Amino acid sequence: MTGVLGQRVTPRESEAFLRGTARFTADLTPPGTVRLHLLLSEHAHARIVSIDTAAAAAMPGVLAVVTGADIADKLMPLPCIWIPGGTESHFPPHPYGLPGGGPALAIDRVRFIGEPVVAVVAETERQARDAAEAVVVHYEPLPVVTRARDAVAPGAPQLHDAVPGNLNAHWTCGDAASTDTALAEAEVVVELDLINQRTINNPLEPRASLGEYDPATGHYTLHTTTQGPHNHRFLLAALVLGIPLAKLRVVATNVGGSFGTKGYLYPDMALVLFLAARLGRPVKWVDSRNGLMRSTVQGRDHDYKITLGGTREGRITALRVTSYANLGAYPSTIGPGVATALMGRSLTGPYAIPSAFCEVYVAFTNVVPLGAQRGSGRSEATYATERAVDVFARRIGLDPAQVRLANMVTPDRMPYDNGMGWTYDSGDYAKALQLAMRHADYDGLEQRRANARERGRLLGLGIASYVAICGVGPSTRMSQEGMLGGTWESANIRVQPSGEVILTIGSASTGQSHETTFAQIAADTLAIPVELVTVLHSDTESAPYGQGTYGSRSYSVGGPAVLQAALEVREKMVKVVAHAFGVGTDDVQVSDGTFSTADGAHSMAFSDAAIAVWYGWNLPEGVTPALDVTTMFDPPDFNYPFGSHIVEVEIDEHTGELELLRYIAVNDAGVIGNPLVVDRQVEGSIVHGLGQVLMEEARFDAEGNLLTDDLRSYPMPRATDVPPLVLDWTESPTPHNALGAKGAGEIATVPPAAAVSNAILDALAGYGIEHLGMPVTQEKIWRALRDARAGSPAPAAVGATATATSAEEER
Amino acid sequence: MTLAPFEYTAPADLAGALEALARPGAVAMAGGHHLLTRLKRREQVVGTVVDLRDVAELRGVERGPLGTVRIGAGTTLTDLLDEHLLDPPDLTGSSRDLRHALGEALAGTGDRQSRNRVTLGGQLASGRPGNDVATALVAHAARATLAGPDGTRTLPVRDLWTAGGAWAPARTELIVSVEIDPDAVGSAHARWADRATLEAICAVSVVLCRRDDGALTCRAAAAGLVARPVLITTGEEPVPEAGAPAWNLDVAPGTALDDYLASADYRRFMVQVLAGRALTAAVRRAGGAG
Repeated sequence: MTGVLGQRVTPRESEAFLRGTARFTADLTPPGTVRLHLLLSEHAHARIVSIDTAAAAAMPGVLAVVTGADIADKLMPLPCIWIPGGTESHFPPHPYGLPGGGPALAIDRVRFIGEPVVAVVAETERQARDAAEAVVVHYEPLPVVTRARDAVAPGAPQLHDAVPGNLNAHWTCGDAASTDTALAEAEVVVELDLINQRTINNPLEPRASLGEYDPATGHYTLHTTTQGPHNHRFLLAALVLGIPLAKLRVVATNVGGSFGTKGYLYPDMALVLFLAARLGRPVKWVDSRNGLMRSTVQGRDHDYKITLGGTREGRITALRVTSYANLGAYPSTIGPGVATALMGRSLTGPYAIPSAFCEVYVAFTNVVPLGAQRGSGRSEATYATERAVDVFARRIGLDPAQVRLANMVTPDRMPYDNGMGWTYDSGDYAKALQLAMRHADYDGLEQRRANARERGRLLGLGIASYVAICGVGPSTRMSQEGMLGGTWESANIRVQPSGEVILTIGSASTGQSHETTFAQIAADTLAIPVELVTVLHSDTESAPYGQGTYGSRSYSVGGPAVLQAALEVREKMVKVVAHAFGVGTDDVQVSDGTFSTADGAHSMAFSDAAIAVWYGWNLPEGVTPALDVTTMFDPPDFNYPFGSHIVEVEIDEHTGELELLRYIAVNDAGVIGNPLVVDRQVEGSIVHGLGQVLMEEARFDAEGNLLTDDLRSYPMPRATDVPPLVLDWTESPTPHNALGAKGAGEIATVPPAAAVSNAILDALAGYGIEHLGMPVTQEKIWRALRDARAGSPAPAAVGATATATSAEEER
Repeated sequence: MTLAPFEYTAPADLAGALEALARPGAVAMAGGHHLLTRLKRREQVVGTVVDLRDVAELRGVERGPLGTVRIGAGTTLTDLLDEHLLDPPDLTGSSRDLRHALGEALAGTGDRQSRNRVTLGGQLASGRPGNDVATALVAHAARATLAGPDGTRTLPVRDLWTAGGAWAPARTELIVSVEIDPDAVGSAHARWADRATLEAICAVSVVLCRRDDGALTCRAAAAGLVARPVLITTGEEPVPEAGAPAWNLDVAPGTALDDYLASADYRRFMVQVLAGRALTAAVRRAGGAG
């Protein structure tokens, strides 16, 4: 071991990104490349009466103008591969009997404002775009529904013939009967109607695809912005194009961020391949920011009620949630799972709640398809639960931190079945909260509050504690959840005769520094400098199979595969070296790039050992030449990072202006491979969460037009919006992999919405204001204060309403 | 993103620019930030882009004998932000403040890179409701000189926009310069910005002058109430010893801005808040209420 694993190694990828020399899909222009432009729907819901492409086809440089009718018998609909598990569900069709995610180009009908209707290919982007403007589409508008709750109501406009009442599924988890009983018997019951608003992912790099076709071999190559090249190859080849997998290679060059959006199938991916074959030219499509906001999957979007019951002493006895989840116009590749299991099963958070139940009405509407957004499902669950816990604590007059501590699952109960489908693996949840409280000087809160009051400011402190299921896998468990696919990872190590190590991994980086952190695992195990390890990924032609980077799974599922491969390489090298030394394998030690015996009689450099195995001149019996090891890892269960975040805010009582004073994040991701990388991911995650709670919201009008389709109308946090961050960690290794690693990349996106909301509501508590909906804007705060001063209850315009009743009083 | 085709000309002088602008579909381009963005998004189609980069008459900042500052409409915001440019010689023996309100308005406009390109004339003509620079100029009672096919004319800056916020001058007219009298002894600009664009949702500029009897008077203009900057003082109100003048926040029925950024109610409220802040800073800069 070199000890490099666990060190703050500067990502080797950074220099090219910072210097602007890194190449992305949009930078690739093979000779003869032509450009694809997609004409998107102008309506959220309409029948396509006619499409006149004649004028466009005759324009300069135009090579092809293709409509849905042209591809209907050539490209299958995009499949959806996550069916809400354990319940009846309804989907648009796919010819293989799978759920269908909609055609690559609209056929007869459009169902959301970003749906591609016509594909135009021309020599240049401008020509393609000009020609697209010359296409005449005659629409007959149909009634529109944009909210999930409205979509499942009687009389709502129907989107899909195969989906009665627009209901994809009525999904449940937990125990309804015991929960209802516990709520009926609870001394205190708190109810909150909440909106977890739809948000738009905005990675730096919009999506792009480049399709190539070799008529001599019939091979296709797709360069695209993907989190999972192997998944995309399988789904595109087998389920959209209908070609042998061997005929399709998928490559992700550098990918400029994803946050969940680039693991999905999109129409452009199939279209560039189809059109490349048809035209015999490479076909490139590069999205714009506006296009991204209209057609890349969006996140969150639950309209839910949470009911929490407990005792006057602060014990939480029951939790029940009913949600209306907005799937958008079509089921995205794994959208239904995001809307159901990831949210519902996560609702009990870090608390031991004896009775819990969740039901989700998953509905199709005329908005952009729903997908993952960093922390997906878990953030939505945490927002509901942590808001309810705060209101509960306030109702019974107890300190919200003490209520949390009193209800947290204790380490001695691990593994802990949360009653909703997750079995927590390890952790001391109270310890993390107590550490955050110390950083926050929790004991000094009331003094700071009083000091602020003297300055005319309202100070508030908010806590959000969470558990975030991560490390998607095991495959069998995911199949029970309704996912059609494996969730394992792989690694291949080839040691070159020079002693250099080439590590090829199945997972794909979208900016998480795979090339550095995975090299650390191999270098540490092989006891060689990390610089000797080159990491390759994201090319289905060279990389071993992998399922992709999502659900914070690369390190905790892909990492153990690397560790295992490195161990097997080391074991083989030790055998060869021991044979050369004439000693037993137990007598050989490995350190600092050298194999040696403890008595100092023998030593051999790693590179010499590598070439010895390569030549194979003097191998022990049964050992084959060369070092080339591939391993697979399918974890026995998920892993469960956790933590507690605390934020302190001040509000100008007069204007409603809000200032975040500091943000404390104590997280536990098990054993961390590269703390530098993970700290930066945590910082980014917090900022991501701040965006949702303070400013971000995808707004649609009643006709389904997206009103926030560019960055002029959709605010995102800037550096100046970020308060001082205090990061700290506890370390609770998971027993589910040899690294002890848990997911990390998205976990800190889970609590900020709840923590900041709780802080704001804590500051406003003196006015009797119990809830403000997200995004919590300055005006919402001002309005709530004004109304409270006037003695009127918070109006609906303020956001969701909060009601808290005592069951005893009702009786 | 690519632009739709258009003709392009870059006349060398004002006469040439006016001639080019007379063509059908011609549009003037100064820094280009507003126009090019619209063209790239294909939100606007033009016949001819008349690039004003070489028009010498639009450049320069001059001071008249009585201290009036004339700013060429082609001056970039970065050049204007150079405080010396707006810091005229001490003409009367009392402090003159041309720089604070305008400087703060300029600093709040865009970022450094965009200010390097954006011109004063272009910024005024872009006609955004939260136009900080326009607001400061209205508070300064600045005048604009326009040139057109029928000669030149001068009008108050506050009349450059229609009630609906549209650019009032004819399409064939060019804004040549803006003149500001050096009567301010204290000024300040306060703003509340949209988080997405950083443009002001509401902004207020306050300009203080001193009467012969030593008392301060106040002129204030606000952006964000309606679609153009408006005066929220009726004229030369004296500044009370304590507190603020009664701001005139009344707007014509049906013209109040009320949108997703802020309700009309909150805009009115924030304009008062910002006016108070700007007034406090301006009084301090003027050396007190006298």
